[in-house]
Amino acid sequence: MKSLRVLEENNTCIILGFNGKGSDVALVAYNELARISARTRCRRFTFFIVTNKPSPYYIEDLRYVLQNNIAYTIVMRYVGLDMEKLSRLIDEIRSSGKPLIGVVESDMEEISRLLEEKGVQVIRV
Amino acid sequence: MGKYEVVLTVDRSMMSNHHGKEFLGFMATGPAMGIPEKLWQWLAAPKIKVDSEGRPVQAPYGMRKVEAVLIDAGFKAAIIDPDHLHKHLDTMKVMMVGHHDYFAYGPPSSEFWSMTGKEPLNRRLFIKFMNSPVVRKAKEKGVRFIMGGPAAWQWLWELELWKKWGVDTVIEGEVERVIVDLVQKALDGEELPDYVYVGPGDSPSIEEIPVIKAASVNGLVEIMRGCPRGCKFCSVTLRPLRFIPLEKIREEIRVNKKAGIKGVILHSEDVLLYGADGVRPRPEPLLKLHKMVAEEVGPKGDIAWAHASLAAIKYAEEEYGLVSKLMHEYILNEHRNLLGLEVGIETGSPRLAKIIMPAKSLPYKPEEWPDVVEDAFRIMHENYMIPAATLILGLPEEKPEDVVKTLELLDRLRPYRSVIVPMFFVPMGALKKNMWFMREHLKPEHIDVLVKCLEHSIYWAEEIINRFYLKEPYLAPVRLGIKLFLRFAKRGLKSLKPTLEAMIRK
Repeated sequence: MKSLRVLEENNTCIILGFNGKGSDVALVAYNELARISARTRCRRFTFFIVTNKPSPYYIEDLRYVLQNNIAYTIVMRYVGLDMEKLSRLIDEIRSSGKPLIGVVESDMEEISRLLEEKGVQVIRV
Repeated sequence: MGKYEVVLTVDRSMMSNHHGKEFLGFMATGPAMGIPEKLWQWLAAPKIKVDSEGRPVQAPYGMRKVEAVLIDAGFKAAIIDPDHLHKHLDTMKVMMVGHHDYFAYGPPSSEFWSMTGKEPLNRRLFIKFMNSPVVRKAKEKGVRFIMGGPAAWQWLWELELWKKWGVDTVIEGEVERVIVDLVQKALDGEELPDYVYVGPGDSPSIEEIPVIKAASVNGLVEIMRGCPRGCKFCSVTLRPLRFIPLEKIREEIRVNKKAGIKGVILHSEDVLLYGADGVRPRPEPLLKLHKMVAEEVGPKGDIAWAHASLAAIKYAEEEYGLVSKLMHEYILNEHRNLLGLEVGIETGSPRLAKIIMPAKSLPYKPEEWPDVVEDAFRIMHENYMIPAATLILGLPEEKPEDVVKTLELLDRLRPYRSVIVPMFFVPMGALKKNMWFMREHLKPEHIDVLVKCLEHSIYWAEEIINRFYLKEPYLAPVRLGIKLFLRFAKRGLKSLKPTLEAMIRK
């Protein structure tokens, strides 16, 4: 995946994993994003969406957060449940040196484990 | 036949100059009322002239900016009229659409929709456009669709249509700094993000905002971006305040003049804050701006303001006599007998003003808001400025006594020439079921406001039409159409109150 110039430069990447509790995951992710921004002054975030919901229907779960955001640049990319793609993506982000965290629904243990194995901090929701 | 790989386009409700009269464009935000839809559409959004490639002689300003950025970056890009898209099917790889109100969820479309139960024209035309054979063919051929503009957020509520039409990316915010790379990636067949929100930190600088390459609708030119009022709910205010230099404004006016447009609409969230000291207007930059504009358009060209705040109107006049000065020295003459603009009243309740818009009355206190509104309306009336004013009903913390205050303010505004449009503050979930919203949220005192606004607006619209508007002989059919509608609205006024009361009783 080629990142967007400007919008995905000096950004923080957040992997959102959800099946049934998307809106809870989105709220936790947004709080985390605000905390990171306050700490690091980062204003650009890319959400990678790991979910069983097809694109663009997953957006229904994130709508509240997206509609209330007026402060940060947000880029949203769909991953689905393709574990190979996710694994490659994590490696790519890690090798680029960008900050990366995961916010994952508690019953998506496989995703959380994969992230943790690759040294990514995971917040379980 | 075609030669453009990036095509910017939109449906007819936006791709029109509305007979050269911007206010007529608002008719596209409602369904046909009292006259056949075809006539309504012709009144609101007639077809625009195009060249042999289907490029319109005038196009929406925001799209012109994006077009200019892409052309400057070396893309083969152009705005194409929706009726001429077929000429570019062979070359088009990216189709970009910008809109003010894709699905009629914005004001005042949603109000018209709620009150009449009929889909507004803008929504119908956009859906028809996206379902058209040429757009479907483009998708089949692998053209990538990027949707943007001020109403981009509405796609978040139309996921079925997003999927059905194969939209690739929805982008919100000021895009000048970032759009080139997104389009390049679309052309290169790269994976695109579903959604992008360009935050205020990535807003373009003055240098990054290009001069438009071809004419904008009715000569609209931007004079500033951002707003210093700092309202917490508004994204515009978070963006850096940028005053467009006079030279750049002049260049754009000349682009428009070259295309035969005789007038200028100065666009800003608040025209009187051009070059201001915070929220206090300053005479010097405003006088220079209007002097330059008047010189450019000459004595016969129209001049209009997009928006101004009521507090700035009062302050500018009372401190410096500035409104009268601008109107009498630069705007009014034997050919220009009015200045149209939009203003926001929002509420007549000081209590509510303090909660929802504490900065809107600055430099006056929110407690003084009704007086600020009336003083500004008097100043505008005396200076032949005709405002289209908005009110918001149903705000989350609104109480019946707040609406009564708004009714009292409407009585005070009766003597002043204006059109007042009530809008509902609509939580989006409710909007999805429009009639439900009306039944659940409409209160008896709201009905009184709706009726009073309509009475006020019909009374003054007749006076405006008879004395000031649509005087040009070639606009006689438009004038007739508007008069027919006003007659229908006047007749409907008698039955409006009982109809709405019956609706809330159900």
